[in-house]
Amino acid sequence: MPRKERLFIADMPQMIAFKGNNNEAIFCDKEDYLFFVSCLKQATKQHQVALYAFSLLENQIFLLLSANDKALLARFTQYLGRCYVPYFNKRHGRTGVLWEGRYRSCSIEPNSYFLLCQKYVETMAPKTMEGEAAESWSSLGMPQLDFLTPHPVYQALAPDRPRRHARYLQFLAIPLGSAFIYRIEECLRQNCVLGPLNYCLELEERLHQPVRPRLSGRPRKHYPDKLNYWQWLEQEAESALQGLGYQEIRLPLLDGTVDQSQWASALRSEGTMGCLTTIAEKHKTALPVRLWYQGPMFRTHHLTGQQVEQFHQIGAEALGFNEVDIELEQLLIQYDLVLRLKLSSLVELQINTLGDAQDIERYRHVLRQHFSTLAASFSPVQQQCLLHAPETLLVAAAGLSADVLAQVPLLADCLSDASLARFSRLTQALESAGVPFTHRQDLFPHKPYYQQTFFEWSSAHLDAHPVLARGGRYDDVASRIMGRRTPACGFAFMVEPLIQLAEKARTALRLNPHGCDIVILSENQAAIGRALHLGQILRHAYPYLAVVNDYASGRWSTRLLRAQKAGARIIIRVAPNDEMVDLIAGEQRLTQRCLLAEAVGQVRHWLI
Amino acid sequence: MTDNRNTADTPLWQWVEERIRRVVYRYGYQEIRLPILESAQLYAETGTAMPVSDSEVTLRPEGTLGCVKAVVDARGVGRQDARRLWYQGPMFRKRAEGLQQFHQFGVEAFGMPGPEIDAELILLSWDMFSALGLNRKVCLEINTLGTWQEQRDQAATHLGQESRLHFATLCHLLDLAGVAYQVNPLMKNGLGYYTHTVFDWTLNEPELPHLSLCSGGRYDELAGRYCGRSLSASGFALDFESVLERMHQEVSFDRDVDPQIVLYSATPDLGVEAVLLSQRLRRQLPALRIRNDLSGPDAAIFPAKAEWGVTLRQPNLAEVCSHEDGLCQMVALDQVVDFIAGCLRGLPLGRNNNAS
Repeated sequence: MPRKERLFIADMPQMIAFKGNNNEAIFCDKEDYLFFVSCLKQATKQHQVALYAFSLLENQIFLLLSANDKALLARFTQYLGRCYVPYFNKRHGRTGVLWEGRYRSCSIEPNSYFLLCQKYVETMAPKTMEGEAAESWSSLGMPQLDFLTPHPVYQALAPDRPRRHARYLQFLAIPLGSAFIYRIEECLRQNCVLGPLNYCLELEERLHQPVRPRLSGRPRKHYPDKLNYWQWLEQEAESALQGLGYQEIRLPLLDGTVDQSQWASALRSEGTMGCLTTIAEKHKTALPVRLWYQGPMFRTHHLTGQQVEQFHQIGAEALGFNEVDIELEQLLIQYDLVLRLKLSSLVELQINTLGDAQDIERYRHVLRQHFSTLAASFSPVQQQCLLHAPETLLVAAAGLSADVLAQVPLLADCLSDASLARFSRLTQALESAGVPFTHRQDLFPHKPYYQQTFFEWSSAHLDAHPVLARGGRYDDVASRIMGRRTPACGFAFMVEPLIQLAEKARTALRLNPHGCDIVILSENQAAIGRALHLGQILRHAYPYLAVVNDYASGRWSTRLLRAQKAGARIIIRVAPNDEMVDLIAGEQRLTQRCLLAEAVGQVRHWLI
Repeated sequence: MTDNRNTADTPLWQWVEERIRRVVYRYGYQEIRLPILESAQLYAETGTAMPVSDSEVTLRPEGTLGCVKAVVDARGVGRQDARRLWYQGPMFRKRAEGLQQFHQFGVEAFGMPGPEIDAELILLSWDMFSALGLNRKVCLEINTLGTWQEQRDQAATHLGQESRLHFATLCHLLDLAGVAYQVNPLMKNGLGYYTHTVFDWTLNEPELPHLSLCSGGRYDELAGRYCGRSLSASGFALDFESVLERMHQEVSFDRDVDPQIVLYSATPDLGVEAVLLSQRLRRQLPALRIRNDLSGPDAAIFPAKAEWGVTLRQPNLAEVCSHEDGLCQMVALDQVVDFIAGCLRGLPLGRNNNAS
């Protein structure tokens, strides 16, 4: 197999990692470290490489840098090897390679990921105890070095150097999530781009080559039982939500009394509206209230108008809570569920603030002005959007070209200070709770429901429906339906993409579907009465066991084999006109005869 | 719509579902999830009252045929292995005032031609009613219809020998199991659906109108016609709404478990800190039921229900109150978790060393 050509994207910072061969030490003492730092200084100067951060571990080296072109980067790494390896070999009396294999590298999308990567690099270096002084061999521990360049993202932290450094130290205090570390290491290993999903998708389109890390293994042809996973998912969601005081609500599938020929349009298409209308009609539930629901929803395909498709959601709504804390609570529930499902390394939380109602109205006005020249070329659907909620045009599905979208005025300019402060409280709380997220300023809902916080959980590993969950605050919509002011916030998980992702990632359970514990085989028709009776006794005696009566006729050995395949731990054979029954268990088919009346006690004995 | 549910009824729903699921589990039945939309053609032949539409799909009026379809599609025709399945969910029927949604819990068994599976299903439904505490209030009626051919020829007295033997065996098995039943020769569950056994559980209350809670029977020929070869099939469906209506008269139900710790914030801007604290508490003390009361300062009255109340007074200071002792203590925010953990280990409030 030919070597994979290294991915190099101009203007993107790169992370580079060297590893000692066979995990052996690359640095033995202080002198080695100092020599390598001097090599690094020479190399950056000679090859016009901007070095942002580095850390030197005993058997690993991490560098964060950017180079003007691919050849320069190649010469830079060659230089490091040519300089340091002969020195090290000579000094320690060894020969041969020092690095293990090719160096690993990944490109980094600077806005969302650069600082996280810098944190990763700089916190990787442990404090190596060298004599009396504890020293850290990293850019963080050696601020006196003059050949380091601060990255623009780092510089944007604060206007002057001391404050920048203080802000960065604050940022370092929060530990990196394990999901993020896993992601960096996967990207390094597979030489991919570390960036938000939409950024990666754009890159893929531009470069005509995959830039996202792949999951290991080839796609499976046969998947284990979906239903098992689905049931497990429901259980986990139920316990996560009930634990925080969310009450289950059962929603009708049809909205109101329905004319028989119009049923397709009356089918429930999402849970939020169902919750609101159900509560509004009943006036029984006092606010504030936390609700959750699950079940089938239906969408109609717009093209044909008649094709109705069924899908499933698990969702939660909190009504009557004003503050940003409820949004935080719900985001933490979602993260908890993602952790429980073992999907945290595969999904990404994207979050944005849309501001309050006035902010949105201001932004809509700006957008309408901006699009006024283009409006003539819009389709009727797009013109409707422009009239009512122009921000929905900014969603990728709305069909505007990338060039048009690139020139759209920013929402951030229309946000009031209060909205920004509210959002920064949420993001700071998320940071300190250890929830990895990306703030995407161009994230907009496809329906004009939301205000303030809006978020989506998506996965880079699903192409068709990358969004696994979405939600946010929708005060105005809720107030309209309820007929009084009702602050509301909610989210919904989509079941089908979750199952699909779990299958791809192979986190789905691989349990054999539980068939039964005890199988009762009746020898012939005459014994069935006794077999049924025994079954009843066993079920009452052991309410947590599954007891199956097998009425089939056929060869004895076949029936025995089938019972064992179904998972039976004990097989009981009942013969007619005989007080004795046979208990059979295990691969070896150990057999014991006993009285039918004693069988219940024997089963207990065997199971223990 | 006769749908009158809200969150108040949900605990009863959950309880009934859990009970019934436990019974079917004990009998070794597997769950199957069926689509709510089915091809209209599937039901057209049975004459079931279903929603009309000009499209090819319809809302399912019942689960039986969908289940047959799923079994045939999944396994191929002709595999005569025994298959025991259950399903649950909304069904739709045409009524004068419009479409009506109701809920069914269905149990179907395939590939077993003998009367013993009919007996097992009756025993299973009997166990369901026992689990719900309704066993003294229901009575069972059974009948045999014979084959479709025999149904057209009229009258149960003229059934063929095989049909009579089938029914006699069923009665014998029910006698052995000690299930009380009445043979009702007038039972006719619609022509062209059931063959041989039909059964019906009704409420045994003379003052109330005749209310069927659960009915079923054998439908070999219907299933056979669908899959093109002989397929033994037998099953029943429980009408959820009727059962729940009856349960309402029996029990008043409240399954909402009280939390052990409730967190409050004295001012709205401390709510975020309260949520973060609750997350730390949940991680450290996963066995506790911990909730956030985020309804703002006006709700920060001490609740009678929770064992502990934690109120954030200042960004770094929380007031921990134990309902049992009626004592309150100010604790630094980063020590609340240790403090409560210490109290749970048996250190009395007020003498805890971790408190500041």
